[in-house]
Amino acid sequence: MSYALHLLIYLSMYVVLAQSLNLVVGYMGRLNLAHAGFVAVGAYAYALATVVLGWTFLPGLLLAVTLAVALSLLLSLPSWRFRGDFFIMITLVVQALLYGVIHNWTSPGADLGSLANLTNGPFGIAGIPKPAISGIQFDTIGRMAALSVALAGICTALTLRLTSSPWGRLLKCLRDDELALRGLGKDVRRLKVQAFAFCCGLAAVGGVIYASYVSYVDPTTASLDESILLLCMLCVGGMGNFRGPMAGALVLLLLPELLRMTPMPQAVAANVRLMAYGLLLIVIVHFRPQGLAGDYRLE
Amino acid sequence: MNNQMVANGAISGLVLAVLALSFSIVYIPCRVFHIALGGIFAMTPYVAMAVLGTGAPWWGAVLAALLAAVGVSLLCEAGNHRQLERRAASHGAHIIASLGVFILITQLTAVIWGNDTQVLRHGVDQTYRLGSLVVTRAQGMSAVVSLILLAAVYLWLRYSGVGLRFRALADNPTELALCGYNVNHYRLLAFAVSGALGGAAALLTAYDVGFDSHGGLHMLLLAVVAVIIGGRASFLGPVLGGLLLGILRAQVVWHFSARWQDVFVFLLLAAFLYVRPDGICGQPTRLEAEQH
Amino acid sequence: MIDDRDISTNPPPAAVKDAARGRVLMRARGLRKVFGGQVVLNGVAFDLHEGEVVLLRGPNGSGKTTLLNILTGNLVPDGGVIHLTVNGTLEDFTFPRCWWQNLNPFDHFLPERVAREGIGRSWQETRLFPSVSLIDNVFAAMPEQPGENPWNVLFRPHRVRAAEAAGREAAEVRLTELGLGGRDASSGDKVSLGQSKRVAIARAVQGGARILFLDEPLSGLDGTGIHSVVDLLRSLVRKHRITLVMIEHIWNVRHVAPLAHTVWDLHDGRLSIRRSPVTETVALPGEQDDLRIPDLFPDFRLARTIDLPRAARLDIYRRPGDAPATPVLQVEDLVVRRGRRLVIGENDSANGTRGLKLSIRAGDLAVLQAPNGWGKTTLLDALAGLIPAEHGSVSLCGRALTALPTWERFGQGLRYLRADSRGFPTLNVGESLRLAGRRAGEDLSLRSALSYGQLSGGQKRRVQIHALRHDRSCLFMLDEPFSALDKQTVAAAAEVIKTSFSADKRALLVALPASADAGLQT
Repeated sequence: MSYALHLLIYLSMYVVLAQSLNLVVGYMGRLNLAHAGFVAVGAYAYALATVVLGWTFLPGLLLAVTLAVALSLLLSLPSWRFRGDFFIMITLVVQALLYGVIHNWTSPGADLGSLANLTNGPFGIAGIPKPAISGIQFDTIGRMAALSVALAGICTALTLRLTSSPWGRLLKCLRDDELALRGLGKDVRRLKVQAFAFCCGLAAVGGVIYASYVSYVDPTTASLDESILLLCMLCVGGMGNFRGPMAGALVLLLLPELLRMTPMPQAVAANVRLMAYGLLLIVIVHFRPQGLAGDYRLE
Repeated sequence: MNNQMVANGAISGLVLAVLALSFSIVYIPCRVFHIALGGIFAMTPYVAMAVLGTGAPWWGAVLAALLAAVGVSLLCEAGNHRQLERRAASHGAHIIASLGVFILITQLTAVIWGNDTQVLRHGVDQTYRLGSLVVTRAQGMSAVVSLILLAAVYLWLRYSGVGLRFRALADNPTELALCGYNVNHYRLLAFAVSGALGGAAALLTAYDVGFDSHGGLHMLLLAVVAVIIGGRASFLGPVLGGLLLGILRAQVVWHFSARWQDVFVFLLLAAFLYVRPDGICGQPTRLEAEQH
Repeated sequence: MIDDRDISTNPPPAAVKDAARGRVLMRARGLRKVFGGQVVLNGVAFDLHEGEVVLLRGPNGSGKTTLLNILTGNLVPDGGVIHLTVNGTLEDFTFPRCWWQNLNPFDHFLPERVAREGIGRSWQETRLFPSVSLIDNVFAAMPEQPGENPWNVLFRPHRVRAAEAAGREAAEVRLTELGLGGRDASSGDKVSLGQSKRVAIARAVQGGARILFLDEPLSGLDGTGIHSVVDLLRSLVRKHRITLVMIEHIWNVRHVAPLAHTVWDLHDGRLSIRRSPVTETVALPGEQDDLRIPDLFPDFRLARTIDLPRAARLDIYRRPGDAPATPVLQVEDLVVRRGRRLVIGENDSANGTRGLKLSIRAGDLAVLQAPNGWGKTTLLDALAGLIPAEHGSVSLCGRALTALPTWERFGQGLRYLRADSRGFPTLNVGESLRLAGRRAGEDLSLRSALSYGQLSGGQKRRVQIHALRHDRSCLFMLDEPFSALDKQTVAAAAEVIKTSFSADKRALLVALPASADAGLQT
């Protein structure tokens, strides 16, 4: 039972992350490999707020989202000028930058959360308290699952409403033909800033779910492997609509669980999992560019 | 002492320039973002190490490693990009497939040879004095080999018939096909040269500072930043960008700390994107609104 | 100071005074654009008045589209001034800009900025948004929608919903006006070319355009398509008083000429302006010259004419006295698509698509004349193997080409010069010729060390034609080889062609835009 709840929490986190990435990748048509960086920004902001400042869940969540939204400018400003290959490369650079900052902002002996040692480097931040909202403690796995499903529901409803609005229509038009859209007088730069702000802000929500469930964050949250996993989710499930990211999140949640059932030495398990992602990416691009349930083909 | 840092930076910049050039040599003619090159970079030193382990001489190991790099690079084109090109797939499809290949190569390397950091040489390196500078043997070798490789590539591009057709491919693949040249052969050539240069850069880096199975993408990212800074449409740009980046990184180490190298690289990139988005050697693109 | 040199001072005839008297919406002085050493625009100046309908003409390649791109913010001119007063206040844009001005991202003469001032455009290819429905294409263009602000979407849903309903109704009305009422749910890439062109124009108007720049709105259309688009333009001018600037190819000029008050002739980088009602097609100097194949090849006589679908024709010229010869190029049942759109071949309700069939024999000088948008380039590209054919067969000198890649077709003796060929910009002349297996310098008075990018258009053409010469060849295909060249260069290029292709075993296929009189014959 608690295994099922554990999977449910991870599923709701993946759904939030896949749906938010879908805004930029599926609707706006920009590949983004920095998503995990923003998940980590959210997770670390929440961890610092609760551990160092002693804040409760909701203010911590708010801080995490605000910080991620502010940092989304790292992606949206270059997107004014760049697209295609070089934009993807810039997202990779941002990913490396966020990872580098989280991994390196430490100095031995300094207090956690001080300017000299903000992130505690490779050791991460432990002891993140279980969330509490106005007196209700989410201290059991059942309650935690309820909280994360509720958060995922709110985020999904938010993306659904956004993508079915005129704003979402503009995103699709931007994906189809940016120059034609500019010729109609639409401010595509503002549109890009908004889209990346939502994408990164929601990624931070996913990070908060993760940090509050696991009670521990370290720099691997921000690693490129996680970004690749998230992009792989979209490629496998499909993008540009609502059900694609859902399918992708489910498949990539269950795939490692299936791999775990095969007899494999522990030492290479992580490598084999990543290999499976790589292979999935190649197979999808070659044989099913729209993913399992997507609207938008990568071709 | 600062002269020393500039020299160190320039030497590591030269190796970076070789890697950046190996990226450009595929990107400019084929418009393929060769991320798998990061995997080749990670894999090559392991091949050399394995061959050395069998008791082969050093030149045999180098040759085997370079052949492996070229072979994998050719496989990327033949098995992956040419198939996508035939279906007129988008750049996004190419880059995602290449990313998949990169993951496959690096993880396969890690499964076969493990995740630990390795070295190609043991003990303290010999040093030489050049005026006020101190250069280790590995550094000297990096500088000399990089310079020879860069010079060879430029002479080849500038003066040989194949180099001429290669530049023509970079200019206009359609016209080259209409002149009766098999474009697929020249694309393969691009990937082969790229694999060889990338493999050489990997061996030089590995010999100097050691290697592990997941450093490839970071180096490739630096190389791409060098390409953007230098100018992505020219074969000269990557070399200038690589040198500049190498020197900057050494200065950051000297004045601040090695931990903040990436941050400064990003700041430099941001400054270039803002002030001179087409790079040092770049020409502004034709349609203001249709830039990439 | 405003320099009025280039403005014709002829008093406008009474009939068009009304339109010309409107206030000036857009004024340009001294616009200049150079592409790689080639001066495309050299001191272009004009005043554009409210309600005016302008026909912008010029030979192929004279820079009409370049001018349009500049005026709509898609291309930065190298020099000049543009004044905009569309929405009442005067705004100046001076070029070239200093480097420090470029650092400010906000006050550029950019497409979205220009569009918000009330300047819209249509593209040669329609550029509808393919993944949203037709109605959303029109709907998305409406300015100032509350639903475009995410804040409103999330926190003021009622306001957004009300605006959506009203906007959707307006878009539906607009589509019904265009006769597309029932098809509003279909997406942009599933309607006919004529319909999508009308939707694209309606989209620009819905976006709030007061000045509309139209780039060949009639290209590629059949009779009914042309009439529906012209009707739309007429209603825009009469009902909505929208200012139009149209580029139209000479073939279709007669359809839009009755609307126009003013003619801008772009020639040698300069604009000359005539304010007169255009009642009949007036041939431009220069526009006809390049079409006189018989003058360029005086020893050839028209042997026969083959009518091709959609008002195109193939004129076959031969030397009198040449013996009837074997076929060089045989095309059977060729069908080519660009994306989903059928370009070569016709839809036949009985048995799917019917392909194109033609044959050229040794010694033929075949001239393919077709309207812009017919698919000449697509046909030649398919013959050269640059784009795949859906079905059909192509054979050259008796050997099947259909399965061969481009470079092997070259080996079979096919030579192809593309219309928009940029050549090899970073090579020099000698290297370009060496690539084609030619020796530098022979018959060409050009230094081989000269960089290709510095050559003028005419010099590039001569190098390219010269490079085509080859001993083992049987068919030369030239796509608009004389476009954008002045008279002397055309003669020089024709001379190179004549000396290159004189052997009688070869055939020459030249694609040209249809001439105006050819259009009048149909």
